[in-house]
Amino acid sequence: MIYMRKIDLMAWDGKPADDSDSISDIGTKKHELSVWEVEDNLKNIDDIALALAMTRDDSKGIMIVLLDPAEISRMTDLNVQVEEQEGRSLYLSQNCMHKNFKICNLSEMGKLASYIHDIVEKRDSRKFIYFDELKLTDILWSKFRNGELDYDGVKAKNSWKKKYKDYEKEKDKISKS
Amino acid sequence: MIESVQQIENIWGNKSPRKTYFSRPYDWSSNIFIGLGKYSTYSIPPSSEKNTEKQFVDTNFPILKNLIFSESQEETIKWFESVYAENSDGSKQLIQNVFSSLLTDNESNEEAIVNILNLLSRFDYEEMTPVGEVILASAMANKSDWIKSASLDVMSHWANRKIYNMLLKLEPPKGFLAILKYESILRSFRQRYDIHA
Repeated sequence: MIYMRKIDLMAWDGKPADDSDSISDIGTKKHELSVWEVEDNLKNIDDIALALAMTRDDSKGIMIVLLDPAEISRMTDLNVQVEEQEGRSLYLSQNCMHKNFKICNLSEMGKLASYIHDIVEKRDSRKFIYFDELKLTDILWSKFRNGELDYDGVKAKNSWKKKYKDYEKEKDKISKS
Repeated sequence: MIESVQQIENIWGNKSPRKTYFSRPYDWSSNIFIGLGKYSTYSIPPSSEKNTEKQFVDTNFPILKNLIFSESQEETIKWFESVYAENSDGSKQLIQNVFSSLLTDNESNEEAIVNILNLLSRFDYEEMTPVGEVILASAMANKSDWIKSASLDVMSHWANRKIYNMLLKLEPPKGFLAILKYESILRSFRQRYDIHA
């Protein structure tokens, strides 16, 4: 199984393995690190990225890292426990894909940080995907088009509500042309 | 030239035409705007439009400069949105002046510049052009990938053909992840506008 975690790219780019910004970026609450499950073939990656983005108030792009617990275990001897927890995204149908990694202490956190640091150092571009705002908007609009999301579903957060209005405007423009 | 409240009153009677909370002096120690009563900086007739704009920028410059360094950027955004609603051209000049001052200061002001860019990204392209492009071009020339990354966020938000053309002319970031971000944004632009590289 593969999991997706949003990271702050400035906390990792060019930073040493034990950088405190990197450690903070994978900070836990009640020993839980929020991640989202993605299918092994990454077929549903757009849906999951949108769900993750829609947990936030703004619609800015997100940098994600793909984490495979088996690989993490091989490279760092950290055995990641995965726990169920419903997500809090406006994209409701994907909330069941939200999980938590159980990270109990600084040593475990350090192992995970050093794993991410290693793949940044190796410039492993298969493990990082940037979903820019334009891309997220395109995915969102496709959800509006096929009825998976609607105005009522996004109105709770201003920037996503604005995306719906932009979508309506665009639709109107196309229908008039 | 209008120099006194009395002169303003002579022209406008007792009514000030445009009076807003943000045109009043700001008390930084308490974070409370102190009202001046019925007169404000903008109680100047439209014939002095240039003076009004200069006064608007001069009055609000220290406020924005101070807010941009504060921890809670939500307050800055809220304040700037209300200023913008009052005087959009003056606000564009204001943000440009504050940005320029951050560049020419003795300090690196990296975080404050990122905050300015984050503020820009709350507005649409049409609301910030042409000042927005000037700020972005200058920000992308900065050595800091953090600043470049925040500029890319604005570009991705404004996403139009002009911004795409501009993006191609600017210096990309250096860091591995920042480059991935840059390339992703370029790809999305190309896809949106059906551009074949």
